[in-house]
Order: sequence, then structure tokens, then C-alpha cells
Amino acid sequence: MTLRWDSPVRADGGDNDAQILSPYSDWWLRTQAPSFIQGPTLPFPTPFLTRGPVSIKGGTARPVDRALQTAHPKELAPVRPDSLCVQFKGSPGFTALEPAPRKVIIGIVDDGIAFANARFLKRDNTGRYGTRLSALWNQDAACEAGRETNGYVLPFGRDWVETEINERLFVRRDPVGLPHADTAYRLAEMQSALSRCAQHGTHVMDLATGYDCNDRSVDDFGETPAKMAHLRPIVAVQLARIATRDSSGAFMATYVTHAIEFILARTIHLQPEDSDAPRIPLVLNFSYGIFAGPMNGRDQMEEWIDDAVQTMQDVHSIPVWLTLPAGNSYQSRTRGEQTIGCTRPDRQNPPLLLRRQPEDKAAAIVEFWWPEQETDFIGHNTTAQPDAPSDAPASPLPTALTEETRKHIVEELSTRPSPLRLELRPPNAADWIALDIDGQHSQIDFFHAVPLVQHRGGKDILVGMAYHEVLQSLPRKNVDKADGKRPLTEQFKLTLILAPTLFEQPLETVEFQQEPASVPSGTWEIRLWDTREIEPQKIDVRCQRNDTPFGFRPFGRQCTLVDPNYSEYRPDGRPDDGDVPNAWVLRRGTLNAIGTGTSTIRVGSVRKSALSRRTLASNRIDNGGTSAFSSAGEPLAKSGALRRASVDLAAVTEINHAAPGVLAAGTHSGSVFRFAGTSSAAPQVARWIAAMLANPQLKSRDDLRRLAEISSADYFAASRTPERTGVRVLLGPRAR
Amino acid sequence: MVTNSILFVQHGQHGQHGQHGQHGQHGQHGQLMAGGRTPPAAAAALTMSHASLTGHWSWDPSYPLPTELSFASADNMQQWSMDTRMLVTVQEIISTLCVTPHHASETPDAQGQTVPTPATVRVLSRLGSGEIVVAQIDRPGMEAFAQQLNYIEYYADQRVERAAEILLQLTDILSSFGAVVPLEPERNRWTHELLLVALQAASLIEMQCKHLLACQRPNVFSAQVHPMIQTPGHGTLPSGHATEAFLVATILRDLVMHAAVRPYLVEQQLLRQATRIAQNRTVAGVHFPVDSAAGATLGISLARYILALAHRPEGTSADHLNVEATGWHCRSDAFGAADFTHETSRGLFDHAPLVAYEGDGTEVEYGTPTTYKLTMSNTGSVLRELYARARAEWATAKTGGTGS
Repeated sequence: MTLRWDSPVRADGGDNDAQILSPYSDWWLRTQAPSFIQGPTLPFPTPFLTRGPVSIKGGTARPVDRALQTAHPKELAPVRPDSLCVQFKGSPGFTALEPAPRKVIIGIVDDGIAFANARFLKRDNTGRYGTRLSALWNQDAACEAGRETNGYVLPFGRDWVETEINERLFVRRDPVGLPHADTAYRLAEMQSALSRCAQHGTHVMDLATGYDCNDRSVDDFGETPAKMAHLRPIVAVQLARIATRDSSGAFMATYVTHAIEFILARTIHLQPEDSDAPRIPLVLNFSYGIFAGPMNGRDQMEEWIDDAVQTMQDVHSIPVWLTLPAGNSYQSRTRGEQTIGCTRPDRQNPPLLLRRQPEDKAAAIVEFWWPEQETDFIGHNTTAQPDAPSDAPASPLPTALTEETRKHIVEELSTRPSPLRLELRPPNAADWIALDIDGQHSQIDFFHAVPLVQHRGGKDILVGMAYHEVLQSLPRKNVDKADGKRPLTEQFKLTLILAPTLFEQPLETVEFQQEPASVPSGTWEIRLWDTREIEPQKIDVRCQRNDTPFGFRPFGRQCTLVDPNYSEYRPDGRPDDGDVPNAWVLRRGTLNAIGTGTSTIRVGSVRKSALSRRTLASNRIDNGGTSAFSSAGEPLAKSGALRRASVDLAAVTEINHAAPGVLAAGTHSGSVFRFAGTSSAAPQVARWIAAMLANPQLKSRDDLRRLAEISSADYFAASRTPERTGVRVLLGPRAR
Repeated sequence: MVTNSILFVQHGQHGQHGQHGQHGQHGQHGQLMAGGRTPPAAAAALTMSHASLTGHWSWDPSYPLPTELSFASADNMQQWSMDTRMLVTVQEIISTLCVTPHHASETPDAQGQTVPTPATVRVLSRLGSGEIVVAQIDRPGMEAFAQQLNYIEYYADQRVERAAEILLQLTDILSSFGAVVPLEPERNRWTHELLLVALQAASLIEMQCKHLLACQRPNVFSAQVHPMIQTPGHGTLPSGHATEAFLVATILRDLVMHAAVRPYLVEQQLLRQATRIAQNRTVAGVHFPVDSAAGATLGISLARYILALAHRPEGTSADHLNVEATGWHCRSDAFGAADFTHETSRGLFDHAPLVAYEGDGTEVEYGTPTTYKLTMSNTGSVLRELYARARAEWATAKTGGTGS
């Protein structure tokens, strides 16, 4: 087996006329089998609410400054041909909600949402059970061409509004009047997503907004479930399974932004008809996370979310709150720091080792982030005339990056040489796979990639890619600094993608067949250098998540970074939970990489029994009861951009060492199961936020933190590790 | 037979630590063994065949007599069955030892100040002149144990993850050591026998120490201790599991270090496994960390003593042997709020004072070495024969590497 680096290629998925793509999208397109005709793909949704033909009830979409701050390359995802919508009949007709003082819409984006479970029902005044879901979207369902759209045009999948759920999905009822769930799921094409007795989405939704609509007692939040069933309408999206299964997030961003757009649009539709009535806010929970990203709020999806939330507030006066898990990767050994010099080293010091698992059917992705640096604007005309002469005077910085501008900047940057170099050494190999630095690799431009090919059966098979990118960010006026001035910055990024160690066709549809390719499992070694003559740079090394999420059969197995100085266990057998001075693989800075934006609430996890542990020196307990897996952000005290990357609050998702998880609904009504993880912490805080929204003081994330800090409610405990548990720990009524 | 109740003779069940207090279960002496021992049910058959086959008694005194076995010779060990051999060897060891208690007192130190000395027990050998202290354990007071209670609470977090080890080690610690050094019952049958002999001898000494020291178990202090297994019916300090685990570790280390080839890091791993076996008892809620410290020192001391008895120095033909060895004096009363981890046990194979660490990092000296000289006969020891055969099992072909 001979591996070598091939000539650099433009990151356009193999089609030179196409737009430059993100590494994830480019890799996916290039690994398609050439003999198959490619199926449809789905781009990121257009900037929120600027799509012309959609009429949004309650106001027209006014143009606002919602700058896409960073010039990201394009990202796209495959979509099942039968779920793509090609014909629609736009129609009005959506029932607005009645205004009520404590009404809050709960948005859920997840996989495995058992919407017919009794926890999500309410009873009308005749006692008849009905759904609390005002809208449901199954992204995987076949699109019914020509059906009415109830005021919103879906690009794919199928949705139902409340009346449709009650009349067309809850067609069978049992003698008590409860809907027959299996029939409903089959009609909604969710039967295979809900085939297991325990599902992530149901557990999360129950923690966020599950209520027994017959329970008239008062809980710890002062809520009566029977009443709350009428005050918490739900808008839920069953995410496309390919988006969830690929835990690297390669397809997630596209599908999730569409899901969030759906929920936001429905939230607008649901507002009371009387425009003087107070707006009904939205609390949206998205229990998902990845390990690698810019970690400064400028991931493409993070920017989209921040813009969307801002728009909802500015244009529609609707407060939107988003809860996300802080992450479960504290002990995952997927993050480290390395120092990069300006000449090719024999090895990194300490060696940069990557362990690939055998039978890992998902690609391994490692991102290398250089520190942010100031830069001059690229100097070319970047307004709507991209073909203006290059000696035209430099334009002033645009205040908003439209899609066209973004595309143009990326194209311009793709002519700029990258100073970064990456080489690999496969497991047990004596030699490095070297770049031809005097020949074909003497120049590698940004937004180009160096393919790793394996010669087999007389041809070259693509088994890896090293992508070079530079991400430029425009200053944003009202963020970070009071005077609004910030220099133009850029970050260099290398992305190494390696084929699976066991090949299996990942997608069911024949249109997306991939070319079989695999690499050996074991410990790979990487070395990097930066040809600029500058001081050694400290870079962030992050393995992207590539495990198999809950509810899916074995697919990916997480790759990790190897460090002999990483301390796994303390002498007493307890997992170590700090960073030792000479380790390069770290626990700190492992926050969910899509949770560093301005508008998301990040929630960590604690173990209830450990909160009340006596703090005696002989106990040697100093982690404040934090769950071993709960990721760490930056300390809250840090100011500036870093402050974004912090954990806000925590909730209980482990009771004690023998009950590792909190109980919440299984798929079938009446069943419960234990599940731990920050995925179960975020929805508990979502429930609390919804309970607090009657408070008019609550406007920003900082307000929320302050409210939690000063609260004298019984259901709060002190947070002793702010980087991992935020300002306060919630002991919600669901932590049992 | 009185000794019936305290012997392991089940050849296929090595390493049965034994369930002390259930004396009826030990030593199923004379039971059916795999390998064809004549069962009691054969008596009728053999009576029949005797009647049919043997015929008229025709013994003639001029017929050559069988060779007489040597008197009091260790060479005869191969004539006896394993259970007999074990009884003999255990007696050889135990008959040289006794355990004596000493009450707390105040003794004047070099400056004439009176220094309180805690109650203590000493394991003494009679092989030599003067008081030969093989091991010594001081007695902690109730306040000292109370300081240690917090560890039970916080080690309980690991009960679920360590349950498999804890349950295995209720009756079997040799399997855990079999994961560190290669141990196979047929290939290492003399090693197994040596270990079982040592465990038996240690068991008698350890029970005596427990009885004299009479220290209360953790579950007597607080109902919140809530052990996950039966708390045994004997005192808490020293810990039996710790004594036995470190005894086995020391003997295995001795055998392995004399081998031509040793597994990489074997010494460190033996120590760590013994530590973990001891620590598992704290996780289970039946011991304090200081019990493990006392047990570890006792186990090492007894193992060194047994090895001193068992070694035959090369080329010695003298009637008597003089051997020097070192035991430990465990100052358990000064253990304070220290924990028992592989940091604590690190120095146990050496001879420098032992150090433990309290939660805030304060050092505590918990063990001082005690050197002694033994004088013993050079002949007649079955233990020495047993040890020599066990050692021979570890002489593998030279392929390089001296391990660590």
C-alpha cells in the first residue's frame, strides 16, 4: 500500500466551475463514486427572512444589518430525493395562538421525538386529548407535492400543524381517548426513528416541556402541569437522520439551520392576531454538539443563529432563547495545543499523535487553528462589482457581507498562497509521507487542498485531504467592544480528513454511493510547520467528533489524541479532572464548538450526590460535583471575545454513582429511562427559562446569569467550578 | 482432625482466600479430586477383589524389604500428598513465630521527656538470640480511625465500577496476580503450592494480630458506611486482603526477579495490583485506608521472613545458616488522614522509611524498617525444597532483557 500526497486541488468538490466549499462538503462530494449520478444537495438556508416570496404574517421583512461576519466557504448537504420538495402551493391559513400571560413556545430540534407520548398532550374543554405541538416537521418524510403549506414553504420533508396532527395523525384512539402512538408515527413516517424504546429526542423534550396534563399538583417551579399543558405549545423538528448520524456535523449545519428557521417562522405565525398583545417568546433547545470549530462565535451556524435571534428581536419583538449542551468531551482527549515552528521538524515536540480506532466507519477530521491575527483587507473591490479592475481604489469595509460578497472574498483569497504545511506518518511506518516542497507542493493556495492518495488496483484512491483555509472576519459594530471598533481579523485553519478505517456505504440512497476507501487504524503521526519567518505559534489541535450518537447502530468510533503525559486516573482510581503542566492534550477549552455564539445558553452537568459532599481536605474532592464528562469553557471572568466561550449554567443529569442519569420519558407513554449528559442538562434549563420569562428584566444572556446568581429559590445550588458549571446549578423538578 | 478446618486442598481452586469464620468450608480433606483418587464407594469393590484375588497369605520374611525412607528428610516431601505437605510446611513456619501484645506506655526519650508509645503487637521469631522482630503494628485510637471515615464515603463513588473486582477478590486474589505475571496451575504447580502455604501461615499470624489489636470496623462508626459486601467477623486492622495481596506480590516478585527474563514493569505492576486489591476493600466499605497500610507492611514482612527461611544460599554446607532480613514497623497510629494509594505503597519493596500523604499534601511517615538476623538449621526443611522447585519453574530460556 503506497500513500502519497497528490497535487493541490481547489476545494470545489471536483467541479472547477463550482463555488469553493467547506472541507466537509468538499470531502463528501469528492468521495462519491464516479459511476453514480449525484443526487440533490441542499445548501445553507439564505439569510433569515429575506426570501422574497414567503409572506410572513404580522409584518414584512425589512432589510437589517445582519452581517454574515465571516467570509465562510459554501456548505451543503445531501438530501433524499423523495423528501425534496419541488412543487408547492403556497397558502395562508395558520391558527394563531391565544395570548396568555405565561405562554411560551418551546422549540425542539432533535432525533427520535415521540410526539404522541402522553407527556406532550393536553385536554380541551370537552376532555378530549389533543397534541400540544403547534407544528411538527419530519425532515426525512417524503414531500407531498402540491399539498397546502399552511403559510410556510418547506424545502424538503413534510410538516403538520396542530389540527393536522389531531385529525390526520391521531386517527386511532384507545378507549380512554389517548391517541394510538404507533399509528401516528407510521403516518408521520417516523416509525423507524422511533423503533427503539428509548430515544434521545423524547428524553430531551420531556425534560424541557413534558407535563402530565391530568396532574393538578404544584411542582418545585410553582407550576401546575395540567395548566402548563396549555401554556407551552411546542414546535418540534425531527432532524434528518443523516444529519444526526454523522456526528462531525458535516451535514448538521445545513439541516439544523433549516430546522431553526422553520421554528422561528412558525413562532412568528403563532403570535396573537392582535398586534398590541404582548409577544409570545420562544425557548428553543438543541441538544447537540461537536468538538471542533473556531470557538469564538464565528462558526457558520453560530453566526446564522445569532443573526436570526437578533432579527426576531429587532424586527418582530419576539424574544428567542436557545439552550445548548456545554458538551461531554471533557475527558475525550480530543483537544490539545502544539507549538509550530517555521521549519520542517523531525517530529513535533511533543509528538502529535492521532489514534484511529479499528472499525471506524466515519472519516476522522482534525482541525488545526492558528491564532487570530490582524490583517489588511484584501484590497480588492468587494462590492457588487467583483469584476472591477484590480487597481481600483480599495473600497471601505462593507458593513454587511452578502452571499455574493462572501463568495467573492473567498475566491480572492484562494489565489493567496498558504504558508502552512502538514505531513503524515501512518501507523508503524518508518518514514513520513513527505510533501514535494520543491515541486508540486511548492505553492499551496488557500481554499485548496492536498489530496492523500493510495495506489491500489492500478489506480489512485482518495483516502485523505489536507485543506488550507483562511477565514476573514469583518468587524461587527455592536459586539465585543463599546466603541464598536475592531480590526479586520483572519485565522488560518488546516483541516485534515482521513478516510474511515472500515468502509461501509454511509447513506442508504443509491445516489450518494461512495467510492470504497479506507486507511489503517492505529497511531498516526502528524507534523506541521509554518513557512513564515515568525516566532513559533501556539495552535489549537482539535479532533472533530466522530462517534456514533445515541440511537444509531455502530458507525463512527471517536479518534483521539495521544499524550503519554495525559493523566487519566488519580492514584485513588478516580478519573483525574485537571490538566497537568507537561501534557499537550487538554481538558480545558472543550466547550461545545457550536456554543460559542452570543445568544446561546450553554448548560453543563453535575452529579447530585456530589454537590453536598463535605469539603474536607482528606476528601480530596475539589470538582464541585461536576460530572466527569462535562466540558469546560473559558472562565467567566475573562473579558472580551473569550467570554463568549463559557458555560452559563448547569443542571443535574446524574443522581449518584449507581444511578448515572436522570429519568425521563421513553418512547412509549408511561415508560422512563435514565440518560446522562449535557444533552439532558440543557432542556432542564430551557424549562426554567420558560418559567422565568414572565420577568420583564430578562432580556439578555447576562440578565439570565444574574437572575440565576441572585435567585433564592430552593432549586438552585452553588456552582463551584464556573468554567464547567457556570454561575449556578439547577436542581430542577425533573432531576430524579 | 482439628486442622481439617483451616486447609485448602482443592487442587483446582488455587488462591482461595477463604471465608474466615466459615470454618466448616475449608479443607475438604480427602474429597474427590480431579485425577482419580480412590473414592469411598470403591470399598465394596475392593473388598470383593481382595477376597477373589489375593489368595492364601504367604509373606516370607526373607523377601527383600522396601528401601527405608530417610529420617526427618526434606527429600521425602515428594512422597506425601499436597495437603500433607502443606500442613507440614505451614507448621514449619508457624512454629517459629509468635505474636505478642504490648500495652500503651510512656517511655523516656533521649532528652528525658516522656513520649507516649501506642499499644502495639510484635511478630517475633525464635530463630536466633534476643528479640527478633519480624513485624510490628501500632494500634490507632478511635479518633485516628474517625479521621479516616471520610475516605469510605468518597471511595464509595467507585463501587459500581469496581464491583467485579471486589466480588472476584472475595475468594480469589491469585487471578488478579495471574494478570500481571504468567501463572498457570500446571506449569507453576510448585509456585501455587508455595503461595498457598504462605497464605495459610500468614492467615494465622494475621488473625492473631487482628484479635490482639481489636480494632472496630467502619460500619460500627456509622450506618451511612453501608458496605456493599458482608463485613467479616474479625477486626479491621490489619486488613487481611492487604496482608495477603502484598505477601503474594513479594513472593512473586522474588521468583520473577530471579528468572532469566522478566516481564516489563513487573515490579511496579505487582505493587499496584496489590495496592488495588487492598484499596478495593475501602471501596467496598469494610476497611479504612490505614488498615491497608498496616496489612501491606505485615504482608511484606511475613513474605520476607518466609523467603528468608526458604532460601538456601549457594554452596553452603554448614549445619546452620545465618540470614539477615528486614521487616516493617507500621506506625498506624500516626497515619493521620492519609490515603492508601500506589503513591503510599511505592516504597514497600525497599527498605527506606515509608511515606503517605494526607489530602492537603502533608507527608506522614508510617513505616520504619526493622532488620533482624536469623540462625537456623540447614537441613530438613520442606519449605526450602518447595521453594527450590518453585524457583525452578521460573528459569526460562535466556532471550535477553532483565525486566525492571
